[in-house]
Amino acid sequence: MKNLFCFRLILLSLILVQITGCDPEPAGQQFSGHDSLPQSTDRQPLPLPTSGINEADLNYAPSFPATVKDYRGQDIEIVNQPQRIISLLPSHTETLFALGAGDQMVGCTSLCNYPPETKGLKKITIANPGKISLEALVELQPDLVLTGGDYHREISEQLTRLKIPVLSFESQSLLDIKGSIRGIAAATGHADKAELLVYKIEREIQAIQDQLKPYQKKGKPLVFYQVWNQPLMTAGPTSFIGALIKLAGGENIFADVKIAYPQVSEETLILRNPDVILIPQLKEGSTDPAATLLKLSQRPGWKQMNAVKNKRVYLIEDDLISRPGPRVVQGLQKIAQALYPEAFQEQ
Amino acid sequence: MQSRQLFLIWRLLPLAGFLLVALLVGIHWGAVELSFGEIRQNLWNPSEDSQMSLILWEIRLPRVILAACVGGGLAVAGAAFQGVFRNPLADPFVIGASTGAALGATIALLCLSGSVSILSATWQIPWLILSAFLGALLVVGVVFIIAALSQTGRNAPLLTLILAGMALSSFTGALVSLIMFLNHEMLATIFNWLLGSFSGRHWDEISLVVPVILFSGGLIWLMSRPLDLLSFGDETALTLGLATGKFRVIILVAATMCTAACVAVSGVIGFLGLMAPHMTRIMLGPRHGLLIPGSCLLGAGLMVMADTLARTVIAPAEIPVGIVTAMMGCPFFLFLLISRGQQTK
Repeated sequence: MKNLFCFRLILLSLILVQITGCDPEPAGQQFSGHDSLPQSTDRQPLPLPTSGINEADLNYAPSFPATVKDYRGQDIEIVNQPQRIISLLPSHTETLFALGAGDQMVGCTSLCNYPPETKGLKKITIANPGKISLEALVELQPDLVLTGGDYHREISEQLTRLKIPVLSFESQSLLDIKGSIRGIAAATGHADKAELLVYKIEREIQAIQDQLKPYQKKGKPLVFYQVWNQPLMTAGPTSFIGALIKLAGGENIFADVKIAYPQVSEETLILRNPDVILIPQLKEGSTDPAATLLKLSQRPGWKQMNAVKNKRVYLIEDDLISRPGPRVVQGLQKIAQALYPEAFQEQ
Repeated sequence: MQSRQLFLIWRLLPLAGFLLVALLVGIHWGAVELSFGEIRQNLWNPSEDSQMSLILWEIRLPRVILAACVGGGLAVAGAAFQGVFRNPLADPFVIGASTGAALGATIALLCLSGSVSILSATWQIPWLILSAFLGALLVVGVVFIIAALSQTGRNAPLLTLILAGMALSSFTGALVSLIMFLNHEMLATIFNWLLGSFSGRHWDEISLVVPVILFSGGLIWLMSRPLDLLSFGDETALTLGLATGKFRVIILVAATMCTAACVAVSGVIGFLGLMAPHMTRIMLGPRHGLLIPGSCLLGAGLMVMADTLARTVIAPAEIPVGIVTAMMGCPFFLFLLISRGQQTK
């Protein structure tokens, strides 16, 4: 009896070892693009452009295969110029169209609403990581999928396991915008336009800041950005919106809170007395500013705030300030106009 | 009889004192420093111009009073549920009031965000509270119906109520999760509501909700003797002449209304409805004539303390008060385990 038991135990252990020991995929090749295709020996990876626009070549021809380093720090190899790109982030979609790669796309999320050409693309997912159907993605036979950093980590891993090239670009700050523009351009064969676009964005941001400088002598306005009212939530200085407010020459009224979107004390807000209140709206003109001001003034204690007394409550289109993409300059412009209306009166 | 009533009041005095201290601390401490001198001055001579007076009267005072009422309401409802179900683990959310209110609030937040921008108008607030209140009543109503109509409901009414409550709670909770999942952009808002908070509540909310809490709490206090009898068990209660079915329904309906009002205004704040009656029972004994007002006072004081902590610890940012009360639950349970263990020795 005992011998039979021992024999069965050993047999079971051997079987288990066999099953777990088998590893068909060596770990090193897991994130490579197409290790099954023959690799040419004289392949040169496309050098990422690093300096100014002087190197923009009018006779630029994209050279593939290319190796692009993405947010995860991995070198992703793109064998041919992608013609079936899927973007899982609205800011990446906008970047693709800004670089001229719009006709190389086959799909995007249902939240990608700019530019109008996105209407022709197949909307396969809603920008909710849990709702992305892997099958719907694969059915479109993409040769490149652009995802958004940690937010899409699971779907990125699943796609990579299926040998679909995935480029993951974090989209949380202004620095991320430049990195993702350059990376996406290199991956889609538009590296010449990347530096132009980055330079254009930097120059426009600088222009806005120069326009504001003469009006900043009296100090910066105290800005309160309201995310929600019950409980009172705002955008802290560490968030993307907080960074935009700072760039637009405003001082965040909750600059001492390090959480990105914290719940804050109404008492402190009243005591610190904001000069400007910013509230997001879904679309341009979807909310009546006068009605908004009335509702704010009905809240106890808010009527005495500088922002409410001087009618400096502004509604900003949400898409412009929450998408770290090429349209960030428009969002910055809108915030700057709200903070320094006198600087834009001549135009 | 007279000496017994005096005895009753005397034993409640320490808890009343605790509540008073908690209220004073709550008014004094906060993100904005209000010294005792300023408080005294502004309480007796409220002036329209002073910013401190404004903060005190319009922001801090309503918040502290609302916290006290909600804490008292939840504690009284918890004591009632523990008495009716004769179960020390019963809390006000055991038959689905909290998930029902969550469902009502979620649906309201969805409908309101589409048509109006994310602001609170004075006409918007009642919709959210009303919807949450009705949601709670609806779910508990369904639980009652299941318990009344089923065969097991007639044989073992209490057990059926608890089981049906659990089933409906998890179903409603799944519905709320589904709505949150399908509406990703509302996820953070709904989640923040669920965590429970007193931030942004003013006198409007108090005038809406506190009368309901006071009325239903008072009704439960009137039912102290029936609660005492019910705690002996159905058979004993019946032989002592109590119409158990009728009184059970009255007490449960009152307790549900109280819970629904509390959750509708401040979200789901757990543990207080469970902790406060137990702590009061240790201090004042199990007779409901003392237990109900005692847990009301203790619950109110604890909630005010929890809210004060929630808005001062990382000032000017705030922690949702539900998190603070949940953290207070752990030492309480450990204390209970140790004290119960010593009792059986």
